[in-house]
Amino acid sequence: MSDSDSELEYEEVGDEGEEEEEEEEEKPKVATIIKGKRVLSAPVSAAPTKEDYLGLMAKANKEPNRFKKRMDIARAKKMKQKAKKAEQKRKREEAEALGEDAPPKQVPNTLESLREPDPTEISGEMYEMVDIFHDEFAPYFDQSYFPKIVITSSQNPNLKTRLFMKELERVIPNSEVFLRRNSTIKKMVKQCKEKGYTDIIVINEHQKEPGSLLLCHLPEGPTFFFKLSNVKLTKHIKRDWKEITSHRPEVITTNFKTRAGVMIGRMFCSLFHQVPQFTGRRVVTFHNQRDYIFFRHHRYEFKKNGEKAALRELGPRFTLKLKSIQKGTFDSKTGEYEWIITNKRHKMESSRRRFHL
Amino acid sequence: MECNGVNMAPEIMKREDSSDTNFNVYVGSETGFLKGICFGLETPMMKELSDYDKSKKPVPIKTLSWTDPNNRKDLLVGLIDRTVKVYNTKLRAFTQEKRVQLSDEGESQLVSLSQLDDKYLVGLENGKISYWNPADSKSTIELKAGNHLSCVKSCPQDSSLFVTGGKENDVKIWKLDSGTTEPIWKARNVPHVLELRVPVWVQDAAFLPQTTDLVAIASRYGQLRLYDTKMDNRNRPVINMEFSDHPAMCISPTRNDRQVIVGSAQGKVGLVDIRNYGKEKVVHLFHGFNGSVRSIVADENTPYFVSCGLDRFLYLHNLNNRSPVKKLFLKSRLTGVQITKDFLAQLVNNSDDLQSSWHNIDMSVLPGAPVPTNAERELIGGPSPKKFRKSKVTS
Repeated sequence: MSDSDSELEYEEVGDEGEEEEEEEEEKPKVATIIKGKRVLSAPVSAAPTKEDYLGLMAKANKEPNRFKKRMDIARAKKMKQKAKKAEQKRKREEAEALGEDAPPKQVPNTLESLREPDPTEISGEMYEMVDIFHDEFAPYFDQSYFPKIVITSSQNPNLKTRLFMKELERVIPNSEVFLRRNSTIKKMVKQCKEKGYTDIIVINEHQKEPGSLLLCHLPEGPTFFFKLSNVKLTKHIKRDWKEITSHRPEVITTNFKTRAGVMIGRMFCSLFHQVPQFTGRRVVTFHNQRDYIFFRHHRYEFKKNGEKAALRELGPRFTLKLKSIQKGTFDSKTGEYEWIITNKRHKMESSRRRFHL
Repeated sequence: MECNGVNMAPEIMKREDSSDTNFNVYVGSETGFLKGICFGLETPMMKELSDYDKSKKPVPIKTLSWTDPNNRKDLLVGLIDRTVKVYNTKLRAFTQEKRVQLSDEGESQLVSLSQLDDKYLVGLENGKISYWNPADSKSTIELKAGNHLSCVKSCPQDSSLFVTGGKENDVKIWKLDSGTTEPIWKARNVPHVLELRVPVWVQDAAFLPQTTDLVAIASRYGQLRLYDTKMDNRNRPVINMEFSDHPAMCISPTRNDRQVIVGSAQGKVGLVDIRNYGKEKVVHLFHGFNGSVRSIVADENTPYFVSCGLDRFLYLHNLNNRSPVKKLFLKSRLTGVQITKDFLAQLVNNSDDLQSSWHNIDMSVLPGAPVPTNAERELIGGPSPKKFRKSKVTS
């Protein structure tokens, strides 16, 4: 593989070199024409190259007048974009011309694709699956109960938090928003167990914004604690909450690979009713990327007889980052943690390519 | 194996024929499986020793102990529903299975289980301690140690001595052949500055080696305490130390004189020196734990200790140079660990492999682990780095 790759690169480099030579021959002609006739719409022979951009930038950096400098830099950046597009076009046309013999598309290396192997990654081994299928969420997946959820916040929530709770209530079927009213979480757990609730969501604030989210599964835990960020309500993404119908949504959890990740995926699933109403065409997504969990809420529509699908985002949207998994219901004083990153983030996130979910 | 659709995990080698390897670590899990681990191979080997019965809901293993701590042939496995199993390590099979039946049947869970002269010492969560004969399913002695019991630990020096404790149930020391149903020693709660009551929750306890009067306990409220029953201080702890803000879950004595290892509910594991009363201190904190530590066992002959917990990993650490040696993912929450008598021999036999695997596996798994320079010296048990440094200074 590596041999063929290097060959390809050499070829490309060679091509570029030839082009540059051609341009050098043509360029003086164009310049003279422009100078002589002073016509702006003169035919520009070749697309700008990277060298042109670098030249412009060098020139802009020497410019003493800062307003002019700024404009020059903007112009140079525009040229860079043009150069990039031209290069892409050239490659595309080349590939089309070659047809099947075209070199394979190169896949960029990302932090995620170069992820360090994690020993807790799910392998599908039998004893591992026994552990997964007999966890605290097993009754949900056996359909022995249907979820019923309490949503609450910290004391005296701000407007954004209140609206956020309301929107979560619209997204999650069979959920209710309650005011906190000085009640402790331990007390809430006790009362909710008696009244047949299956999960508690508590949204806490940080600097007057929704800042963290606590998920407590009942009756026997576990309890998850997330950092909550980038909360966008329907209002912020210019949607109307009336678009959200009361149908039960489908749930998609993607890219949860390790044991802790699978546990979180099962937790998110267990917030929603097991049987979605497909007529509502609503879908809720929990997507994990580099340990950040992105929540999105869409309505979809099939087009061209099901060949294509159109998506319309309904909102809200937010991002979660796992901080701890605690065994049992909420108990910050004497509870046991299955996984915790608080106070040891630098030890656990020792590499940019290590992910825990 | 293949018929189960087993995929091989990267660091766990499963062998069809394991007759040539001896397990040196046994681990109990919350899914009820007993796992045998062989450290010292090039890749540490793990094998599930229990069969999976689809029709039954798995019952967590609560305790693991040896029937005879000096011989270490049979492993006593106590499930949370009071089922007692005996696993023979030579035959590699469960030889006995019984349910502990007591006179007044309740739904109380099993807390501890150990063997004393053909009979079992059974501790239940409701505080009932029974000296139970498995042959005729009758208990000869029954004691009441108070509600919410969380630990019953026998003394290795004098097997009839044991210590109990639990939630709002302070330390009590009992003697089986004392003839009474009362403890021979009871601890008193620590005083409070404002004369308020200090909450008590004894999570784990251990007699220090070669003593019958020193008991160290780990408290669910984060303290490490040491009781000296011969000391005249009105039965209060001689050492009361705040180990962490979060619960201390388990405690284990080490072969080092008066040093104990304490594990916490957030994965803080420390070596604590309790030689001088009033001058106790945390000597070292071990790294690499992701979650609560449920069980720690330190070997008597080698400077190694194994630990496991809710983060599903089994760890092997070196006490002398304080370095992590191995880390193994065992797929379910682990509740108890026991090591065999020839733990040392097996490590030394395979010391070349061990050293190679230090470089191959562990460096990637546990970052920042120093590479041991002279593995053999440490395996035999050389002086700790600190001692070595001290002697150099004085000479």
